[in-house]
Amino acid sequence: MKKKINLKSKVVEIVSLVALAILAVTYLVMMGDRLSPYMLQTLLNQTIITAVVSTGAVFIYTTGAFDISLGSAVAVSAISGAMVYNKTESLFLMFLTMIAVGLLIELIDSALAAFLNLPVFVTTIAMLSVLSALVKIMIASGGGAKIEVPRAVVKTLDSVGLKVLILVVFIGLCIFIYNYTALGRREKFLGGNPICAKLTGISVKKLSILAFLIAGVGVGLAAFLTVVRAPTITTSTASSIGMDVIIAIVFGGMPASGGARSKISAALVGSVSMVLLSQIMVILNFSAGISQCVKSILFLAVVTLSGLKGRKAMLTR
Amino acid sequence: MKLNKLAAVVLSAAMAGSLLLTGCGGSGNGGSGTEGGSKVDASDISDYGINQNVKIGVLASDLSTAEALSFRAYYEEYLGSQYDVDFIYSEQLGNAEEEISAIEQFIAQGCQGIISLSSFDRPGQIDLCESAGIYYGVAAGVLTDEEQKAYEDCEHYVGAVGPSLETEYQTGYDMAKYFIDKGDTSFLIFAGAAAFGTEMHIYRVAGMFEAMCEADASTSYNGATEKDDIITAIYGDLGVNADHFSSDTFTVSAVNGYNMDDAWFGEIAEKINTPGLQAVLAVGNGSDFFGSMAPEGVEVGSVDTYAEGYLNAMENGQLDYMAGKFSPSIAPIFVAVINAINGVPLRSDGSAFMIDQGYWIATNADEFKTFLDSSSATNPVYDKEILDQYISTPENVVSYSDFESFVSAYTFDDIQNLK
Amino acid sequence: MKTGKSSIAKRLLGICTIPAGTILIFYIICAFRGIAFFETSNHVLIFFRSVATVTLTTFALSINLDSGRFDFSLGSIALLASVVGSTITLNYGLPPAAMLVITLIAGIVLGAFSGLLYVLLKLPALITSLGVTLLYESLVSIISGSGVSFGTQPELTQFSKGIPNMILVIVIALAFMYIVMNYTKFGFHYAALKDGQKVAVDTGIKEVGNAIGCYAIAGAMMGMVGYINATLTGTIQASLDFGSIGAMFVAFLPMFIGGFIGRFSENHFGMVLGAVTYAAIQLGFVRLGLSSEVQSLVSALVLVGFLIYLNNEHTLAALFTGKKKGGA
Repeated sequence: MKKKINLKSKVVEIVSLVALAILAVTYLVMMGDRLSPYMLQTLLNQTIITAVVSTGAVFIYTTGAFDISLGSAVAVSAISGAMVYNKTESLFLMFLTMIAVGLLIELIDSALAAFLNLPVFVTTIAMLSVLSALVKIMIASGGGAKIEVPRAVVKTLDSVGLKVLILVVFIGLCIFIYNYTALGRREKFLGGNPICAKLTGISVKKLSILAFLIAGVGVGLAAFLTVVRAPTITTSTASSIGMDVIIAIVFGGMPASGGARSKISAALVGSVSMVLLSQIMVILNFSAGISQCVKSILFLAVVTLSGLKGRKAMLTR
Repeated sequence: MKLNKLAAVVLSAAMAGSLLLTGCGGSGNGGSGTEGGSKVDASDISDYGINQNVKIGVLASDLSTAEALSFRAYYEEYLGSQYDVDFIYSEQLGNAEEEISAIEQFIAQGCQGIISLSSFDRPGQIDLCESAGIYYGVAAGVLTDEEQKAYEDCEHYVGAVGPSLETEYQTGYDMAKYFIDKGDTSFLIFAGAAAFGTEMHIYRVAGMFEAMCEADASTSYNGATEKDDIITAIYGDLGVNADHFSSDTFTVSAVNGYNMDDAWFGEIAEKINTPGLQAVLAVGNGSDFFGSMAPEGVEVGSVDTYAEGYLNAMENGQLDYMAGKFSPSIAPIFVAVINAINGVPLRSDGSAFMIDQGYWIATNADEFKTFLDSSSATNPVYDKEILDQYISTPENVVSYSDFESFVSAYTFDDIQNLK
Repeated sequence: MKTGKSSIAKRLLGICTIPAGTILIFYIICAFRGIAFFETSNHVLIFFRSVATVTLTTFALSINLDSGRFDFSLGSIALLASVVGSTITLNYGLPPAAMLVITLIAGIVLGAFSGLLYVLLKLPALITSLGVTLLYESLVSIISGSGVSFGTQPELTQFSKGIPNMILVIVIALAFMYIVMNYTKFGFHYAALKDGQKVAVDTGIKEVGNAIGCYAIAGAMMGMVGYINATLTGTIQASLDFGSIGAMFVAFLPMFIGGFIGRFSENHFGMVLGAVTYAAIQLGFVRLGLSSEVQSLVSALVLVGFLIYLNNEHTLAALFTGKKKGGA
C-alpha cells in the first residue's frame, strides 16, 4: 500500500514533465520533415520572455502570493529603457534602466504590502491599473502611438547566444538562491506555514520584499528581451505576460499556495509547454474558440493531476 | 531516416543562411517579374495554389469581430475550396512581439507566403519575412509612406492593398458631408482608437472636421482649419477634445477609446443623450455601441464591414450610413502573393506596390443587402473566375498594370464589369 | 440613553461618511465647473445602472473571496450567460422576460459548474477559475462567433433603460443576500466555514454543498450583470485570452468600503453603499468629461489609499492622537 502511494506521488510529481514530453512529441510528429534548428530557435524566442518573468515570479508564488501586474511592469520597464536609449543612445544605460525600473516597481508593490499591511493580491491588482495607465501616458508623451528603439541598433543583440546566456545565467542564479541558500529555504518555509515561519523569527517583510525584487530582475530582463526582439513598443506590449506567467507556472507544476513543493523548474517547464501547445493549435488551425477550449481542458487536466499529491481533506483555498 | 536527417540539415543550413541576411539593402531587384512579366520565362512559372499545395500564414490581430470572421470565412471557406491552398491563421495577436513569434511559427511550418492583417509593427514583419525568404503582403491596410519607401525594394515584400490614409480621410469627410447635406449640425464623434494614435482613425476624424470647416468658415479644431493642422491637433489631443472644437454652426461632442467598461458606456450614455444631437459620426463600429442607445431621430454613421447584424441595424433605423469593407477585398493580395510564390511577382517599377482600395458606401437597406450578398463566402464578388484572370500561368503572364487596374476598380459596379 | 443616541449617531456617521462624502465632493467640483451632477434623468439612470452592476459584481466577488476563493471567471460567466440567454431567445422568438430568466438560469448553472469543478478537482479556486475563464470565453466564441447582436429589437433592450428596473435589481439582490446570509442555514454554515473551516467541517457542516451554493449565487449575480450589460447596447462581443477578467476589478473598492461600513451596519448593505460610492466617482468623471483611463487610475489609487487606511487605522489614530502604540 505504501509502495503504491509512493509510486502515485512520484507519478504526480512528474505530471508536468510528462505533459511537456507529450506536447513535445506531438509537436515533433506534426512538424515531420520540417524539423530544423530554426524550429528550436523559434521555440527559444517564444519561450524566453515568459520563462524569465516566470522564473523570477516563482519566488513570489513560493511565499503563497501572486502578482498579476507583471505584464504591465515589463511594459513600463521597456518603455523607460527605450526612452533612455532615445535620449542617450546607450544600450548599456537602456539595459540598466530596465532592470532598475523593474526593481523599483516590484519594490513599490512589495513595500506597500509589507509596510502598509496591504493584501498582496489587491495591491498587485491596483498596481495593474496604475501601470496600465502609466504605459498609455508614457507612450502618449512620445507624441504618437508607439515608442521605438532603432531596429538596426537592437538587431545586433537579437542573437541566440545572448538569449541563451541571459536565460541560463538568470535561471542558474535563481536555482542557486532557491535551493542552496537560506533565502530560498525560508521563502519555501514562509509559503508552507507563514505562522510558524514568523514564530521562528523569520522576517516576513524582508523575505517578501526580496522575493519581489528577484521577480523585478526578471521583469527588467524580460523588458530588455522584448525590446531586442520587437523594438516597437505600443500600449499592448507585454500585455499578455501577466496571465501567461500564472498559467505557465501552474501548468509547470507549481502549487498555487507555494510552500515546500514549489520548484524553479516549473517556470521553464510551463513556459515551454504553453509555447508548444500554442504551436500545435496553430498547426491544427482550429478556430480561436476551439483552440482556447482545448487549451482550457488540457490546462485543467494537467494541473489537476499535478495537484493530486497536495490534496487535503478539506477544500483548498 | 537518414534522408530525413539530411533534409533537416539542408533545410536548417538554408534557414540559418537566410537568417544571416538582414534588411533589404541591395537585395531588392524586384524579383523576376517586373512590368508585364516580360522578363519571365514561362516555363519557370510554378503552379502553387493551382496544382500544387501552398501554405499561406495569416497574421491576425483580431479573430472575433464580424469583420475578422468574414475575412477568415472568405479565405478558408471560399479560396480554400477553390484553390489548392491552406490558410494557417495565427493566434489573436496583441503586440509586435507576438507578430514576430507568429511569423517564426509560419516559417517553421513551411509557409511560403504570409498575409498580414495585423499592424503593430509592419517593418518588423517585413524584416523577418525578408530574412527568411518568405513572401509577405498586407491586406486591408497599407504602410505609411515612410515605411513603404524604406521597404519597397525588399524582394519578398509583395505589396499592400487597402485604404490609404488619404482614403481614410476622404471616408470621414464623405460621412460628415452626407449628414451635413441633410442639414444636420449637431454631432457626436466616436473617435475610437484615435486616442491611441491609430492613424486611420485620426485621418477619418480629420476628414469629418474638414467637411465641417468647409461648410462653415467659422469652424475650426484647436484653431486649425486645414487638413494637416487638424491631424496634428488630434495627435496632440490623443483623440478628440470637444472643448477644442469651435463653430458658429456646428456643435460636437466626442467619445474616445474602446474601453467597453462601465465608465465608457456611461460616457456614451451621457453623450448620446445630448439635447439636440442629430447624428453620430463613428470612425469604427457605430451601430453596436450607439445604435440601440440613440434616442429617436439620432442618426448613426459607421465605418465597419458588411455583416448580417448591421443589415438588421440599417433595416431598423439604427444605422443610416455605412462605409464598409467587403470581405473579398482581401483577395487581390492573395493573388499577388500566389504570383510571387510562383515566381512571377507583380512589381511596380521593380518595387513592392501599394494600391489604394476604398470602402463601399451604403445609405439604405437595399444597397446594404446587395453589398452583403456580394461579401459572402459562398458567392463572393471576387470569385474564382475573376481571380484566375490575375494569377499568372505559362499561358497568361499577368502584368502589374493589369493587376493595378483590377485592384483599383474596387467599387461594386466596377467589379461587376470585370466578369 | 445618551450613550445610545451617541452610538446611533456614530453608526450613522460611519455608514454615510464615505458615500455621502464622495457625492458631496463631486457635487462641489461639478458646481465649481458650472456643471450639475444630475442634470438630466439620463444621469440618474447612468448612476443607478452603475450601482446595480457594481453591487451585483461585488456580491459575486465577495461571496467567494471572503472565504479565500479567488475567482477570475466572473466576467466570463456574465458573458457566456448573456450569450446563452440571448441566443435562445432570438432563435425561438421568445419574449424579453424569457431572456432575463434564461440568462439568470444560465448564470446559476455556469456558476454552479465552476463550483463543481472547484470541489471535484480540489485545486485552489484561483487555478480552477483560470481554466473556467478560458473555457467559458471559448464557448462564447464557439456559440456566437463574434458575439450576439439584438440591438434592432427594441423590446429586448428596454430593461437597462429603466431607472425603476435598476432600483428593483439592487433591492432584490440586497434582500436576497441579506436574507440568505443572515437568516438561513446556508448563511450560518457559510459564516462558520468562513471563520473556521476546519472546526466547521469537523462539526459536520457540508463544505462542498456550501461552496457550490456560493458559486451558484455568484453565477446568478453575474448572469444578471450580463443581462444588464447586454440590454444596454443590444450587443454582446466575444472576448478571448482572458479579455473578460477586467469585469471583476470594479468590485474591489466597493467590497472593501462595504467591509468598513459593515462595522456600523450589515455587510451587504455596506457593499451597496460601496457601489454607490463607486458609481458616484464614475458619474462624476463622466460629468467632468475625464477619460475612463483617468478614472481607472484614480479608482486604483483610491483603492490603495483606502486599504492603507483600513489596514493601518490604529497606527494612524495613534499617530494623530499622540498615543503610543498599545497605549490605553
